[in-house]
Amino acid sequence: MSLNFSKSVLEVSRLKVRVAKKEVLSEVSFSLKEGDFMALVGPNGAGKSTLVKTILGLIPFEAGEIKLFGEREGRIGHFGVGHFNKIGYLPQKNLYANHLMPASAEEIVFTGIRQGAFDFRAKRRKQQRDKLDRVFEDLAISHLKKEIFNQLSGGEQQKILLARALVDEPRLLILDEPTVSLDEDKKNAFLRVIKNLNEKERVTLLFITHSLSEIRGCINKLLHLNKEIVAHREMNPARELSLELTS
Amino acid sequence: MIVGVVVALSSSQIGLFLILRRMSLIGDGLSHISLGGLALGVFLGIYPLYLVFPVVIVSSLAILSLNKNSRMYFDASLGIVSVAGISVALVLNSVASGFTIDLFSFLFGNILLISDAEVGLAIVLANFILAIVFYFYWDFFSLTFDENFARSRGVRADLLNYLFMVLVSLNVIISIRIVGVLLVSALIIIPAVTSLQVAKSFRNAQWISGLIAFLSVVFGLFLSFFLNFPAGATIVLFSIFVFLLVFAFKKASFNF
Repeated sequence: MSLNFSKSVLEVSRLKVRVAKKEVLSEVSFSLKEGDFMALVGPNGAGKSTLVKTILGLIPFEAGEIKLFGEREGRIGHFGVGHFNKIGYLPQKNLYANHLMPASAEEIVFTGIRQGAFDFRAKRRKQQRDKLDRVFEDLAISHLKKEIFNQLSGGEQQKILLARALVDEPRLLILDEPTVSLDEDKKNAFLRVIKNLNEKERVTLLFITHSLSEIRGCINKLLHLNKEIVAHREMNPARELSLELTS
Repeated sequence: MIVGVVVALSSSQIGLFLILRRMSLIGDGLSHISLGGLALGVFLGIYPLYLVFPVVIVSSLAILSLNKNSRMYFDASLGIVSVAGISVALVLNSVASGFTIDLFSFLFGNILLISDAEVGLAIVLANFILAIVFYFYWDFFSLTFDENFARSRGVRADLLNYLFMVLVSLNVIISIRIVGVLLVSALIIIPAVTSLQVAKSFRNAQWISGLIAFLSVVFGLFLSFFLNFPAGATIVLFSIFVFLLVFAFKKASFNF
């Protein structure tokens, strides 16, 4: 029953994406409601990251529809005003981050909250600083604030980037293989933080992973992708397992 | 003196972003293009600076879109556009006579011979560049660190990249009169690179870069006056001296 009352966060229907003329995704449909925790799995080159980037508006789509928080998104992928600050994004391990840059952890996390030109309203700037301080405390990384990002360890960098994704208090959190470079302890600590967000704050999660086992206990949805949807099912044992096969 | 300091300051800020985006040689490329623009102006009998602005800005945007829309490395697309500029300058130079006199002053620049109008223009533009960089600071920062993430946050990346190219163009043009075509990229690269050696944060790098630019112009001019050296080259040499000093200091502090 509760399903009917929870808010729709993301609806993707019959999505088709081409990258460099090659069809990477076709006929992809799924939906996420508030508080869902979905694992997105599939082999390399299955289009997992492409799907996520399309949702984020980084890649244009050719056909189909994406609705975020109940509103349709443009095909070229610019968010309706106000949506981008409801979405937190943790990209695949440092793939694009600039490693020469002597940026402090604090400065990097700040990019997760600040966008647009200089804000002349001092009150807004104060609020942003408060949010920044809070996320560093919540993740217990306040001691790293002034450190230079590219001199931190892999696990610490990952936490900083998680902080960057969380600082604006997103309702949808998209994680692209976040645990790949972490050892067992760090991985578990990381997953605890994520799980906590999902359970306490009812943040919706879209979690790309290669090892489903690490999050099997927390997810309630599973999307198996290989250019098209191989399987999409609800994992909650309380509900009847439904297996939708689309081809 | 003031114009030198202001232009060096704006170069030092622009330079930080350029180096981190691996575009540091764009100063060289654009200054070569400006040579083409100057030659065209002389050839057509128009006051050269009027023509240089549109030519350089359009070329810089062309470099950016060449880079974006085709499978080409940035330095390669820069190379194409910049040799185009020099070739145009050389061809027009051979066609028109009486051009070589001007060419020399542009190649090497001379801060002591700039007209009042040019001083005023340079100061206004340099302050404009600094103001824009300050105003869009977090967007530029975010784009430089992680463009995909910035886009996912709604930063208008394409627009800002083009805007940034316009700023770079303006910056190159105003520095030509001070250090000349041949040394424009020195003002962009050296203070920024030096600051990156020691900075503790990006803000910190900006301050250091600005400080080095300031010192280089002040001491460079001072030395050139007393030693009777060419001003532009002395400024650049002084900044290289600071770079070596910082570099040596950093190496030494690592060893102990």
